[in-house]
Parts: sequence; structure tokens; C-alpha cells
Amino acid sequence: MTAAIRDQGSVSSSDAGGVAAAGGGWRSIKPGLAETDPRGYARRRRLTERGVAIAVPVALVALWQYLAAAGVLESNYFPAPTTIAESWAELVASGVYQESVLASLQRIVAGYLLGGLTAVLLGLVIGSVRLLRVALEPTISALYTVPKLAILPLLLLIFGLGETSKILLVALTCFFVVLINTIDAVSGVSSRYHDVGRSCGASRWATLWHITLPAALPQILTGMRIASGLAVIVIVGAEFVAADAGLGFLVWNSWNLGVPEHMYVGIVSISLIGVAFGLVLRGVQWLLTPWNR
Amino acid sequence: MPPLPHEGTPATDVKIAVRRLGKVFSTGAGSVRALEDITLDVRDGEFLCLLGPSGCGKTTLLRVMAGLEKPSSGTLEMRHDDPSRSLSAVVFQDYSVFPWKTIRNNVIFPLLQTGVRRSRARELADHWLAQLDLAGFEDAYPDTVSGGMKQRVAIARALAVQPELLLMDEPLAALDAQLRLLLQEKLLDLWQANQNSVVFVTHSIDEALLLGDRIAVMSARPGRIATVIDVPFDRPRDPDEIRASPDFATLRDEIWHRLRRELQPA
Ligand SMILES: Nc1ncnc2c1ncn2[C@@H]1O[C@H](COP(=O)(O)OP(=O)(O)OP(=O)(O)O)[C@@H](O)[C@H]1O
Ligand SMILES: [Mg+2]
Repeated sequence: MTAAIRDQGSVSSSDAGGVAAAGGGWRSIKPGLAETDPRGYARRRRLTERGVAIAVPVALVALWQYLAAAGVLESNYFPAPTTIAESWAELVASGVYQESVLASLQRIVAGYLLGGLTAVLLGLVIGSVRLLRVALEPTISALYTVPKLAILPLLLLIFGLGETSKILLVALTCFFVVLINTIDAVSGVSSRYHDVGRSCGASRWATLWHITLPAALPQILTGMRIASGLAVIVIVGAEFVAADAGLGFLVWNSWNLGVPEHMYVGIVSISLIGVAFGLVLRGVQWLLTPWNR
Repeated sequence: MPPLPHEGTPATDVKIAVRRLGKVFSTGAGSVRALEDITLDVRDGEFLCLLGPSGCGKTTLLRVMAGLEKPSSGTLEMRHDDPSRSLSAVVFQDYSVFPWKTIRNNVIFPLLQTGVRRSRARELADHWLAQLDLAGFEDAYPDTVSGGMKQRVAIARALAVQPELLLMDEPLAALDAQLRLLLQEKLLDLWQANQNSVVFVTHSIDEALLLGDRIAVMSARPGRIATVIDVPFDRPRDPDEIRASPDFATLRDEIWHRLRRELQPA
């Protein structure tokens, strides 16, 4: 059975998709594969999409391997993927790799949670109190634009070479992004929702919890996602110059030691951490905003 | 404060006393006089319909009654009889249903604000949702249902509170004609059972005649009360009987001419 838009009882003069010779004709709109077999269609599409998402990077690595083996790529700069994998295994065997990943992860997670959560709390308050927002917004914008890596020396001066300076650097980076997004989200909550709250006599707390926070949540989470990427970027920069462990240190140190394979192990791991972080946040978003699923 | 034109203190059977109320909105471009010199009583237990051309200030007047907007001049006084009961609940013209709450939780929200226990609030919510034909959609999110359904969620949310005063801004506008008729009858039943005062904004003369005890016809901007018409039909009302009666046609014509004059000031 096919459904087509045409008058009941009239006779179709044209074939499947064609237009009749005389210029007129039927435009027939029928269910496609997506409608006749929705489950199968969705499954096939999902498989295809996953397939290409995996196939493209695999193909790129294979091309890299081929070019390296053929001697097209200078092995001092671009070692073959197999060489990189071998030194990866070596680093894992010696425990250096785990140590580096753990060191970076700890700094990222601690700094991210510290900066991000403080920013959400402060942002909710600043965003809901107009006077505070007006008073603080210019200062916050000015501080936001300062590249946070530029204040690393200052943090080192104050807190020394220990973990505190690096965690604070990540925290500050995340803080301003999340803060600006939260303030923006909170002050942008449509007044019609606040009108509902007011007409019900909702308390300040109920308004914050039942109206402001959920209404602002999607944009707050966007800020959190941007911050997660920045956290990874900034910790690597800090570890280049002010650490004796971590993936950034691994990359920087391999330059000093002239071991390009290790450099690639570090670079790839950093990007994998970034990807994993992003996936976790997508999960959080899925959990916290069920109405947007 | 301008002197009150009529009685100094409102009569005892008056729920809302509006006296010489004016509202001016100042915007960047200039100022809009939305309401001017509104004097109106809403009586205890009365169903008052507000009828008027678009932009005449019906929503503004309702928002002042809801305490969401302050008048620029004049006063509005409301009597709160039973402190254990909410004074008013509003059905907003744009529904303003929370997209982040399920339909049930949307209805529960105002109940929790008035101190109802969660389990009781849940019962009440499900009861009122069923009354508005929304049973089975309690756990759906508003953005997954139709506009007419969202509007009914907004109505259920206001009715569930069982306030002394119901403020409804075109609550049936997004419904199809049949459902609208059904809900008009349902609203009549519910109101007759609960005996609260209702201010009901509508564009439809028929609806106003069918539901209202009185109809306040407003003039085009700046909004004033052009006339207040008593609707003579007895209660309980049978919608079909009323629509067939000759009084209905006469009143309808009268209001229609009144409104037409407002639309064409020439
Ligand atoms: N917040 C506001 N700021 C500025 N002007 C406003 C505001 N609210 C309403 N107005 C103006 O006041 C006038 C009355 O608006 P209102 O919404 O009360 O009309 P209405 O009678 O409800 O119209 P409709 O039937 O179309 O809903 C309009 O001219 C509108 O532009
Ligand atoms: Mg309106």
C-alpha cells in the first residue's frame, strides 16, 4: 500500500516519479524506507554512521603507516604508528605512562571541579541579583579575556612549583568560562517562567531550584563542556614548563631527550583524554536535562 | 493618590475593587498607555468576562490583578478571605508551562508552594489532569505534546490550587472548536461546584455570554471599561439551550456593535 496525495477517484496519468508530457502531472509523495521499515532503517543508519566514524581515523593511520614505511615521511619527525605503539608499550611497562596520565588527570579533574562548580554557584547568585550582575560583569569580562597561561608565573611565584599552582590554573580557566555562561543563562531566563513562580508565591529558594536552575541548565552545561576542553589545553601548557610529571611534561621532555615517539604517545593520549572528557559531559548532559533528550 | 470616585471602602461582596487604575509602559521608543481610568468591581463568586479588541490591555489588567504588575496610577484592592487557601492562580495567555518538568510536576509545583504534601499534591495533580483529559500524559514532557494540550496543562495547574480567585487569560484559545465547547461546559461545572471568583479574558462574544455573569467590554487603547453587561441567563446553564435562546442573539448583536465601534473610532 502506498499513500499518495491525489484526489480520491481521479486517475493517475503519470508513472512513478515522472511529470506528464503536457506539463501537468502528479507529484506523488510516498513513504520511504525510513517509514516502511523504521527500525531497520535506524539500525542501518546507526551502523553506517558508527562505521564511518571509526573507518576515517583508521584509514588515516593506515595511510600514515604506509607513507612512513615507504620512506616518504621523515622518521625523525613522523615515526610510523607501529613505532609509536611499541614505545607506548614500553612506557606502559616501565610505569612512566600511567604516572603521567594520572598526574595530568588529577590536575584536570580537581581544577575543573573546583573552578566549574564554584562558577556555577556564583553565577546563579550573580545572574539572579541584578545589582551584583551590573557591578561585576565588566570586571568578569576583563578577567575572562586574560589568557590564563599568562598568569602561571604569578601562580608559581605565590604557590611554588607544587600541585596547587597547576590545579588553580585549571580552576581559573574553567571558572571564567563557566561563570560567564552561567550568568548569561540565568539572566536570560524568560520572565514568563518567573511570573509563574511569583503568581504561585514561590520562595526565593524554590524559584532558584525549580525555575532558574533548570531553565539555565542547558547553557550552563554548554559552558562546562567548553571548559572541559580548555582544562586539557591549559594543563598541557603548564606541564611543559612547571612540572616533572604529566602528559605535558612527557611531550616536552621527549623533545629535550630527542625521542619523537614519546612525544606522539603524549599527544595522542592528551587528545584521547579530551575526547573521553567530552563524552562524560555528554552523559552528564543527558542525565541532567531529560526534557532535551 | 487620586481620590476614590465612588465609595471609599469597597462593598462587602466585592472581591476585587479597581479604582481609576491606569498603566503606562515606558519603553525605549516612548510610552504606551495600556490602561486608563479603569474602575471595576469583581464580585464574590462571580464569573466576570473581559472582552475587548487585541492590544486593549486585557492581559495587563489581569497581570495587575495577579500582582505581577503595579499600576501607574489608581488602586486595586483584593480581599483574601481564607489564609489557608491561595488567593489567586493564573492561566497565562502563552501557557508558560515549564518545559523542564513533566506534565504532572508542572501541576504539582504550585501546590508544593502552598504547603501541600507531595503525595497529596500528586493525587490532586492526577485528578485535575484527568479532568482535563490529560490522563496518560502525566509523565510526558510538555514539548512532546500539542499546543492545545499544553494549554490544558496550564489550566489544570491553576485549577488544582483551588484559589479564591481564578485569573484566566484566553485559556481556551488554542483549542479546536469541539474541545473548546466541551471545556467551556467543564469550566462551568467546575466553577459552579467550587464557587470561586473568576476573571476570564476572551475574544469570543459567545464564550463570554455562555460563561459570564457579567461582561466587561473594554475599549481600544488606552484600555478603558466601555461598558459592563449583565448576562441574564440562569444557572446552572445549559450551553445548548442558551445558544438557542433569542436573548443570546440580541445580546450578541449588542456586544458586537459595541466592539465594532471600538475598532472603528470614526
Ligand atoms: N511589558 C510591556 N512593555 C511595554 N508595553 C507593553 C508591555 N505589556 C503590554 N504592553 C502594551 O500594552 C498594550 C496592551 O497589551 P495587552 O497585552 O494587555 O493587550 P491584550 O488586550 O491582552 O491583547 P491581546 O488580546 O492581543 O492579548 C499593548 O499596546 C502592548 O504593546
Ligand atoms: Mg492578552
